[in-house]
Amino acid sequence: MSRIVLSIDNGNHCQEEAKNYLSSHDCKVYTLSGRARQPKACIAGCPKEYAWLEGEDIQGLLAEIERNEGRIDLLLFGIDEQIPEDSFIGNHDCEELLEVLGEQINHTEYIIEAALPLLRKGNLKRIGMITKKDSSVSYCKDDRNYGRHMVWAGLNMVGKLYFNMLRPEGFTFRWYCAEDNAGGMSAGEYLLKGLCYDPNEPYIHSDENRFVMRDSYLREIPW
Amino acid sequence: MKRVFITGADRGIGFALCRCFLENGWQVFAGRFMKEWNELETLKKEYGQRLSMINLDVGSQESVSQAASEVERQTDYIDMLVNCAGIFRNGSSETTVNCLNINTVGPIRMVEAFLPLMKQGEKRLCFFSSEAASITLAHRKGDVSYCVSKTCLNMAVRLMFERLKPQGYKFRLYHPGWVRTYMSGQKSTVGNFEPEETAAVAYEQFISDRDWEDVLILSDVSNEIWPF
Repeated sequence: MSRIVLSIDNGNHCQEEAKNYLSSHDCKVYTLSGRARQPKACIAGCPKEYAWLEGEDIQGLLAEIERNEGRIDLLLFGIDEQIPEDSFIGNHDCEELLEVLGEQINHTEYIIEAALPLLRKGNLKRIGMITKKDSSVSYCKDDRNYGRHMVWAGLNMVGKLYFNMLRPEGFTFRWYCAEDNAGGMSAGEYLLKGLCYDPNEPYIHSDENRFVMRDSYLREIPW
Repeated sequence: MKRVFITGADRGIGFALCRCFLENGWQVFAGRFMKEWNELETLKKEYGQRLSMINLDVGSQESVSQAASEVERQTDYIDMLVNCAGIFRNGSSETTVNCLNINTVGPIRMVEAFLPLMKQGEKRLCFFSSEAASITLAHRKGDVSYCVSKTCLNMAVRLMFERLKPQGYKFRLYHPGWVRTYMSGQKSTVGNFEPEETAAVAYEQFISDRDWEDVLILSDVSNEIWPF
């Protein structure tokens, strides 16, 4: 049975590769472009490409998916790597930082909330994020680009809170760290993989009951 | 005499910290947001010149810049900046922006404005974070605005740490525990600690040296470490 995927694009290269993988592995991928200023061509296998839409128009797309498919199996996000670069401490326009943070966190939360009714009807009930190791407070060694790093870390927390809320309903989560020129398992494959889960076992005995971030070699990256 | 600037000093933990530093002989610059709240006036009567009240709204760039200018008029440098001001709000996109403005961007504004005053002295930057910022251990099923704002703060502190540690700055990232504070607007009747209790622990952590200042940790009121 085809998987129905809604991909929220932000110009993330790895997400494009993941969409290609999904499209060629029995997934039907709907795409919502993250940014109107970065229009992207529709990739093969995507039924439709949408410009960045606000409020009711996102609802319009979801209504169309509901009419066509009746469900969403995987809601896929990719971090925005096009957030403007900024400098090290001492050189910021803090109002710009606030605008970037507010926009990205609120949009992500809004889309998850809007898509939840269709995700609940899905077979995978899965939310995925293609991110970077530099989203990790523990791991990051950068000293600039506050906007990017704070948004990426904040989205990890958004994921954890939804994991806490939705895991009891059977939702599953895949947080994948993309690396340039990396081998290992691709994002697309990891997004579809099952993780061990046995409802008859103690809760902590199932990997599916943990919210973790992994790289292409499935090494866990600390938050 | 050592000098500290404390944000959110009107009441709660910030006020308790002011008293703590004053009792230990520090010159305290207290960031004052609520002119109608008079606890700082009481402290001023007790400690006189060693307490300076500075009008401050960490959510306003103009206010932060004015506060830094006012402190510069009064002293050549400060040893320590304590970022204590914070709010707890949830429920809408607007509350998320408000939390991010006060809890996340507020400390960035403060550090950027006060760094020129910290090139000598102890070079200590202290931040109030929270267990709510820990992605590893977050247990909440909501409170997105507050939790995200504190996680973003932790990341901001990481970036500052990587930049400023080589210049001799020392960092403290503190989770005060569940405190009966005013963060939701009025003093909470529930919680495990009074502001004075956690302020006393914070003070000791902030002034004490560590052999491993090259490690950024989130430490709590029991002097234990939290994962990010």
